[in-house]
Amino acid sequence: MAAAERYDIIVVGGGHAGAEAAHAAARMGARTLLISMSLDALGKMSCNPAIGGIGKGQLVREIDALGGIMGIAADRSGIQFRMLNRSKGPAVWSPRAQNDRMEYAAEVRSLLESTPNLRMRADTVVDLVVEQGRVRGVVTLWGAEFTAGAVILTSGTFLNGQIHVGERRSGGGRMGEGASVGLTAVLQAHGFETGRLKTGTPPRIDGASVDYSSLEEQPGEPHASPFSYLSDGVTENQVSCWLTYTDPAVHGILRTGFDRSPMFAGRIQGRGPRYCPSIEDKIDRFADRDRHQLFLEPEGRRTQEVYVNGFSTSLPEEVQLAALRRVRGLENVHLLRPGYAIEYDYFPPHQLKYSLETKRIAGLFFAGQVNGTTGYEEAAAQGIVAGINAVQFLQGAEPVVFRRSEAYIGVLIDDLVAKGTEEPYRVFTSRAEHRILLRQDNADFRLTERGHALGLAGTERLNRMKARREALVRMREAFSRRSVSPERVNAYLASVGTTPIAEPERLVRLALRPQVDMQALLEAASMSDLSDVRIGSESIARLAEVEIKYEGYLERERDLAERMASLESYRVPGDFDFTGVTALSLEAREKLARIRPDHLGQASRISGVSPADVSILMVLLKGARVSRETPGGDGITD
Amino acid sequence: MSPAVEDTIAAVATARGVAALAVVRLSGPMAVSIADASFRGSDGRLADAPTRTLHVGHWLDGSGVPVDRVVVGLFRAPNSPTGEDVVEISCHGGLVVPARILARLYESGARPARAGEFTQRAFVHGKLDLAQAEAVADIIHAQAARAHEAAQRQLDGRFSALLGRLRDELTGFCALVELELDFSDTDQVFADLQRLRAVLRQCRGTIEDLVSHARSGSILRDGVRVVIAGRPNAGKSTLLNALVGHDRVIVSEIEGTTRDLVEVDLELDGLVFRLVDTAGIREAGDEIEAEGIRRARDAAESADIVLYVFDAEQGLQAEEEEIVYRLRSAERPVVLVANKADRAPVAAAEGSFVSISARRAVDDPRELSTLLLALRHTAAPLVRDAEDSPVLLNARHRAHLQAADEALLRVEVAMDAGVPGDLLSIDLRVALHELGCITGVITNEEVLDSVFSRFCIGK
Repeated sequence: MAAAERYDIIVVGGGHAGAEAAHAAARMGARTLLISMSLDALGKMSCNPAIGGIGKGQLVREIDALGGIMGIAADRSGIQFRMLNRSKGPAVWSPRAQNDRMEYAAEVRSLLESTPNLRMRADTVVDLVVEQGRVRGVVTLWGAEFTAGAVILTSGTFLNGQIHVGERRSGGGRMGEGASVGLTAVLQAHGFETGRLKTGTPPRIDGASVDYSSLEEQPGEPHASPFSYLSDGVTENQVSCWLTYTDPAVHGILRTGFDRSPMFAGRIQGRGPRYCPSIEDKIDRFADRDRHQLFLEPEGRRTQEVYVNGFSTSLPEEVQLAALRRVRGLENVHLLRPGYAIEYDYFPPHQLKYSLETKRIAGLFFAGQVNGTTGYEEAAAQGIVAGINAVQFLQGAEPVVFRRSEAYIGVLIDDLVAKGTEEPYRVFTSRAEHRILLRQDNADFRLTERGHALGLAGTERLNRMKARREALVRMREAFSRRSVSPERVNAYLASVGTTPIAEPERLVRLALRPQVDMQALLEAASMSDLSDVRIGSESIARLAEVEIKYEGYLERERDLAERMASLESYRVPGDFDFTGVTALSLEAREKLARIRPDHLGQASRISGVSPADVSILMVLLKGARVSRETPGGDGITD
Repeated sequence: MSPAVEDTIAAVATARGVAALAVVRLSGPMAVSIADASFRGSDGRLADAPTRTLHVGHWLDGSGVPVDRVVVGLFRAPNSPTGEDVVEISCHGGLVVPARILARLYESGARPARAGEFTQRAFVHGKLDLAQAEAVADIIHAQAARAHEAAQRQLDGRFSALLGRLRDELTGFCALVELELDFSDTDQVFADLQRLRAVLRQCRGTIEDLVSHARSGSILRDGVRVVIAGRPNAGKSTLLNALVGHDRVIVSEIEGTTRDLVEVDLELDGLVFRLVDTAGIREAGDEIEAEGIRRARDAAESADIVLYVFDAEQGLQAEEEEIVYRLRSAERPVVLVANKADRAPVAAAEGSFVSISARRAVDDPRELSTLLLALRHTAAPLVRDAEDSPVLLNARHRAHLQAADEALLRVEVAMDAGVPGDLLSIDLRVALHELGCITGVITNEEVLDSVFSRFCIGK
């Protein structure tokens, strides 16, 4: 065998986690090698052709604010953009885009190819080199050996992937691509626990065979917000999605295939996501509903391929086709590829530290679907964190950990590490209790300085963030200083159902009214010197309005976040013996000993650990803290 | 590292001073063997005895000489007051015997308990939740039997159960409101806002009930606060001295002698009355006295009952009637006392009053019987209220309840203003947090500190 090639960091896998991990590590100066089974599959969207969405959109903006690539690739390849949840409060507004699948992958590949310090290689990793509990490199299927100080595993659904369509099945990580076999057994031999999850994807159809005239159109938004803080805007040449519905006849046809469904027949043991059920699950579990929404999403500008969102299924192909042909608009549909279910191995994430380094093998990091998550954005978020922390590890620096009150990324990783997951995990805004602080409009204020200090976010990004911050300050000053006359705004005020004004009123007072949208008000009042202030494509007036309108809420939330954070100051010593604390419930003792939380905050979020258990630990750890602060303190009997 | 609760602690659990009996308490893994080192029971070693048993025998000092004849109670973990092995030694009271027994325990390997440490251990072993732990503190602070009963009720967890129910209601709602945030395209509505309004009203009603009972709760814990008020030289201090039976306050014929508040406790039928003497209410003569008068006003306002003393010779003056009227309109019970009845028949005074001679009463307690009857009679409804209340609130509880109430009020106001759900959930969570701080569902350091620092050693 040839002498091993040496790198600082090896990233195994080139999906959304692998791409961000490799990019981040290389940007931070580490000599990085990305090994993927197929370099043609870099940045591939294996499920729906969309980025962002509720909670996920916030993740993309955070990844971007830190200096990642997902937001840039999504902006460049987007064909339709919308802001979801506009009818709700600004904390839960979430950007979402339809993307051209081929373009997205091409953008990711080009971004990676232009990253200095990053090399790529097509091969399959089959073994890890581990010496004295520390990873030293990898061995590939073709016998090559690469050494590195840190390895990031991002193998997605490829570990022992098993694809099911009706009663047929085959090994594979995506339709048409083989599975990666062997690495699971290697890790099990190192003592890792593994589990089995499943997920599914709907059929792809030929758009030329769809009768759009009978369907409801869902266009994009004009002047939509981009994901990246570096983008000045997104395309106005947008493509529509189309809406249609199932009905009882469709449900009847689907039922005829239930006896051959791999899920109902018990051939799939892995647990699937409850919030993204297959169509057969939906009609089985919500038998009282006589219709379900289907979104027809275009896969790109230069293809007729259409993704049938809402129709994820693993029923036999002929059942899928027959059912689709009973759906309005799809009477003559041609199936390009059937829907399928995929089962794969994952590593329950309690085996990770907050840095995403594994507890068992130093220098080995896991990111993405191997940790039990689902979704491109969740994978990418873990990828960037693993990339950062692999570099930190090599430099002997403190791991970078985001608090729950600081980023959705922090919520995601804390949920995984502290609570684990038994079904594919996706972010939700409801999981982020401090969500009003974690808005999609302030990710750069929260994270860009940190990204820049790490060498990940570039100077342009930092400067734009500073410019936005300064513009925001000036806008708030203008709001408190400047007034507007009744004749300029009363028509607008009446149109949104709030009381007109009799005297000139300061803008700040109007911004406080719940019904008022300041961007619209300024435009109505022709105050273009304020309404036109944008950096990137974002209205600074809107940003100022959110801060003014919700000031009280923001303050209370910050206060609450601070009070919650106090538990995190209780570090658990490495040799703390949980099993010896008989006062804890049996379940708590068992789980704490297995998970070994880094601090009391994490302990408090482990299911089965009650508040009483946390109080007990607090008393004990406090005792420990006191006695450690008193070296040789024999006089203090504690 | 192993957890800190491995040593054995000891302390005298009963109050210091002259008493027939005292209890020395020992808790920890070595409790039984440490006690066996000095105890010679008539039925053998404690190590061989079953849990929850009593043993009679002698306590020996280091050289084997008997110190006292004692009764020893044995409780083995986990079914013991602290959840650890516990030995309770009942010995003769006084200063000497308990101290010698304790000294022997220290020699044998126990260490002195810190304040509140027994309760802290009970808490650590899951024997109490936070509110219950605070109830223990209230038992210790309670100076009379009735307070003990109320504290006992809280110890049963009734208060915690009530708050738990409130929290469950709100948590359920918060979850529904938050769930909606994740369904954009479908525009599903999960939380029925009409029902949320009802839940909010119910929660706020319960909280306000609890807070308003706080006052009566404090009657049981701190005693009925009786403020003695009246014009200078009406005989307030003489009356106070007569009530408690010794010269607590300097009494002179010069107006304004009592420049500060004087507090004395008086026990009647198992209820503590905390008597407060105030400087005479009148226009201030000098600066110090002005301060005294200000405090007197405050004291009268914080009183559970006001004993308003006036000079029988002079009758109730117009401005005094005004003061009494003000107090009564603020629902402050006032008992009118016509003093110096030995000197003159009572001059004009409307309504009912008690006529006494405080000076005579100092020598003859029978002089006070009508007044005491009036006091008990006035206190009775207050005590009844307190006893009906399921809870005994302390200042910390009250602060958290009020904060929760304010947060829920903000939710109500915001709902009326059409504020979106993601913002409503912020104040809902603030309320949950505040309620959680009381029962210990939310744990933080200040809570634990404030709870455990209130205990005296030995409990």
